[in-house]
Amino acid sequence: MRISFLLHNAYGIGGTIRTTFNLAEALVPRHEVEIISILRHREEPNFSLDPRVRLRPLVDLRTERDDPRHLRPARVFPAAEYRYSQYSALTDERIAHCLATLEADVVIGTRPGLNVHLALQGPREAVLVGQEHLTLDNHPPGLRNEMRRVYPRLDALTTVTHADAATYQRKMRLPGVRVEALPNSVPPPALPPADPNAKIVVAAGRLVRVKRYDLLIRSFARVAAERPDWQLRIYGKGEERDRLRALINELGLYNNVFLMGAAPAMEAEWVKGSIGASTSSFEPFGMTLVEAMRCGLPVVSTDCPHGPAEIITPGKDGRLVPVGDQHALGEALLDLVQNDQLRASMSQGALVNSRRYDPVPIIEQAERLFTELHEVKASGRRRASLGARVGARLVNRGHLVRDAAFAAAVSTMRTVRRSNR
Amino acid sequence: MSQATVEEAPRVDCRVDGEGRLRFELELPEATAPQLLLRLRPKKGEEETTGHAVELVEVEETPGRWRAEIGPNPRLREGRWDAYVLADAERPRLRLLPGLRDLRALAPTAPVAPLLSDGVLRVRLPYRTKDGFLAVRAWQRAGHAEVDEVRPTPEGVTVRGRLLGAEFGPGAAAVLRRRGKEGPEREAALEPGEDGTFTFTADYRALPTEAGATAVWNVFVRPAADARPVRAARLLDDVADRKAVFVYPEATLGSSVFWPYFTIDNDLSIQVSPGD
Repeated sequence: MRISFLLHNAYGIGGTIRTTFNLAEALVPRHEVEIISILRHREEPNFSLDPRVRLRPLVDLRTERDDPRHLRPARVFPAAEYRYSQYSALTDERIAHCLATLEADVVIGTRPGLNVHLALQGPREAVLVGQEHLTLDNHPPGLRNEMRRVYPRLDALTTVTHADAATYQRKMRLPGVRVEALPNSVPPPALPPADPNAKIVVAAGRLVRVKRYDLLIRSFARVAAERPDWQLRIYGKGEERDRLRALINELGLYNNVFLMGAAPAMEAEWVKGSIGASTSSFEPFGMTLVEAMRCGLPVVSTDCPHGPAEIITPGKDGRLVPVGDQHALGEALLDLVQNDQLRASMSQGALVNSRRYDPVPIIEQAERLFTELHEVKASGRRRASLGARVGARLVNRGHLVRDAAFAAAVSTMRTVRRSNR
Repeated sequence: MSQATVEEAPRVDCRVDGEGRLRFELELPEATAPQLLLRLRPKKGEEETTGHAVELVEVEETPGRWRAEIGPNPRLREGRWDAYVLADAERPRLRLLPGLRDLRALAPTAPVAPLLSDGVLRVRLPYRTKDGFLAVRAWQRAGHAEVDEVRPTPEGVTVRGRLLGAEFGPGAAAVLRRRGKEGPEREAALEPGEDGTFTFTADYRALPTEAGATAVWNVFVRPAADARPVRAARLLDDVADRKAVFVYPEATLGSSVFWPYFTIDNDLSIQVSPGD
């Protein structure tokens, strides 16, 4: 099959980019695979990409940033999408042209705005797959309405968790669209697993509020008081850095808690630790949890929507604590820190249980999905059951009305605010 | 200067084992007798003088993958050693990019016995340079005061550590020496403990300040009254660039701000700068 991905910017850093690269690389031995990067801002991608995967940028910001069309707002890309300000009349034009001329069997969008483009402009003979890498509930009502309007034209929608797939089925009217959870995959580490006797707790992610590293640092104060030979290392950079540094100083934890900066190869850092930690208040998947577990680290995580609860089996390969609960987090960390036996057995559990996120089974699932849809499309047997569509419409009316009311309220508020300026 | 661009340079995985041996591995599918070259980075504008070439051996089970191991020899002088590969005699050397650096054996909670011979400490730490290449940071110190903990107080800083390659005798002290030609010195009382451990507190109030000027005081440990002071530094873990990671709070006393910090060479110093 000829498979094309639509990606916001293949040259940046982030979970969606990494997982798209992983999937593309796994498919390329048997298929013709390309990644269409809407934006490009540098010569080479940050993550390495198998040269057999074709990378095709549409708008080069290094030369086209000041193009008059790029200064006009987008009309197709939905205004309620988070990345709206980075899209323009120029991206509208390039994406439309790209999709109109695209010769592909499967086209995959990787964020809501691109899924909207795909639903409206994707080649009708190709299988159109929208991917949700965030969660439905977290989207603003205006965006949900736009999705509700156009997503029925997609052939399939994949989420990264079962919980989010269930939400889509409950709240969206998507007749004839196959909704399936397709988790992110993490390749097996090249390095031997971590030693459970190490005394480092490791966390990784952008230093932004939603990751709640403040909570992690505060809860680690208890660990450091009981076991001063333990360290907490937080990898990543971001706008919270100075605030977190001030907190470390305020709590006197400068000999135990370290802001390590960004690590180009996290694997070599995970294996120095014996516990992984994630304290986010929102984690659609939780790539770092799986990465840590694949290196043999049990993980302590907040039970935030939706990823952690699907990744972690509490007591076997990690612990789940309520979101924002500093006390519970400290208890869970200390429990693992003080119990070498428990750490060792959970390390084994983490290694075994995280194998289900290996690219092999995940890619098999993706390939099966794409192939089945392709066959259905080719034989024109699509959208067989009209009855199911009507039923779905009746059930989901309530959500539609509520989102419309929210969307209207939001736009009124914006108007009021603007006039007050 | 290397002509290699980031795109064409090979990536090399490296590992430090429990005995402090360095192991490098890289893919060179077409090589026949490649060598790994470590070259001491000269000061800006100076010529290269020192390099060590090590033979790469093909890994039996994976043809095309080559390995070099560096035991206690060659000894690397203190400095930064850039890593290159010489694929064969005709081709120019290529500067290497870092792959996976497995440094868990150096992590602070699984300490390797420090490499000491004749009282000289040798540390070698593969790291990623600012411009993204692989290099080895080497320290070579005849006598060394390893800093294990820095605890700032409102009026000074308490340092806990271990003396390596020297022994404490009567008259041991911490010595603070102001950077620059014939800078003044100040001493602080030092308490030797068991097995070379020590604790001292440097009182900021004992350091002379000059209005409007910034000064840096380097921290030493003098093992005995007549012994040569050895530099206090933190060298025995996996962190090559400590300055931005091990960061301690400042203290303001009078019109001066005192800040204990690790230098770009991981040595311990105290900066004194004018307050607002």
